[in-house]
Amino acid sequence: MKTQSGISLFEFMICLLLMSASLLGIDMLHVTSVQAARATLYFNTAMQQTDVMINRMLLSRCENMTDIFNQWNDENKALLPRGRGAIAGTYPDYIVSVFWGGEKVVECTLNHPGANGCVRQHVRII
Amino acid sequence: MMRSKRVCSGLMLTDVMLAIILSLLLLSILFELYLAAHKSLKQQHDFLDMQDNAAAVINALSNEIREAGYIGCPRLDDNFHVISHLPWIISQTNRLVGTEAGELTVRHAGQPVSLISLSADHDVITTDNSRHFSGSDVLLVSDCKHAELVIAEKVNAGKKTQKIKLAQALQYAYEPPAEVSKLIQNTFYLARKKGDVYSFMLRDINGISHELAAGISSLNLLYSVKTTNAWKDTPAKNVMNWSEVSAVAIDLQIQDKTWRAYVRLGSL
Repeated sequence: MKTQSGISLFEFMICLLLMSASLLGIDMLHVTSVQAARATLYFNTAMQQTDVMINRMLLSRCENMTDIFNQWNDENKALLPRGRGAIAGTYPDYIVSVFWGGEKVVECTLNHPGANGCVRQHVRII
Repeated sequence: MMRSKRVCSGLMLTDVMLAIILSLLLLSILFELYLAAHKSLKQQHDFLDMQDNAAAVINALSNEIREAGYIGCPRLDDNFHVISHLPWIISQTNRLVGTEAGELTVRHAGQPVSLISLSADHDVITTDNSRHFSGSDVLLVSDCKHAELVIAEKVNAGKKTQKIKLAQALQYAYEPPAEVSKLIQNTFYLARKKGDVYSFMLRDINGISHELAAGISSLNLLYSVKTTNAWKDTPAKNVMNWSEVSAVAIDLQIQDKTWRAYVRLGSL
């Protein structure tokens, strides 16, 4: 009686498991790339928003900024998920920051891209 | 008589069926994955295209707005006038002009500038080769006291200098190192392509249009004018005096994404 030399179900299951793992890996790669692209968009948008505020501050020399600040923060909310902006400092040096995402951060010490992040730029009103 | 009993070593029907089912399952997973990857790649590609188009629009507008009214050494203001007997003119009131239809026209001296290397005759100037000119270019010749617009009739380019015969005589004598530049007059506008999708266009001083970006949903420009106690963003139809405009707020929409910029005039 000849013994069969084909693969057993167990071997096939192992093979399937490995293949599933690799397919899931490829899928994760796509998810990660989409997340990275979204994080880049948020970062660029936040940078644009800090630029907008800096240019408005330079033009108005930081006078009568309340309406401008409120309008700017409305834009931040509309453009970024939970977007919010902050201006810290005293004349003539200010730090303009924009935050987005879920984490509640009060101060932005470094530019931080990602799903939750912040950007900051220094401006001197001259 | 003995009968020989053969042992079958082939596959059974159930084996074949199982192999077919598992193979089909695997193939369908692979196909789904391929479709997902293809869709994701297309989305990424579209997203990058969108980013590129947005960057092209914002950069083109920002650079031009920053240069609006630049005429070299002299500063364009209400007391300084550029002499011109041509259909073109650059002044404080037309350096940047918008229209209700959403067009924006910007005028300035093109960079880099060439410097006059020999004392200029009234209808011939000799400049260095920092910028090459050609016949029919509208030139802005300026020192720190005067500025004039003239048309280049003929240009003889040498190794280090170029001799430009002018179509009109200059009113003033310009000494080295007076500046010679091309007058830039660019009009930006949206042209409908398909449905609600527009192309971002540039029409140059010769009336030739160029497409700078495609796939634009909308472009809104607001002009910052100083009111009694604050700067106010106002649409073109409400701007009474264009020399009072100090900045432009750009609001660009591509599909469902928005890009914003705020550019001060003369902030180059």
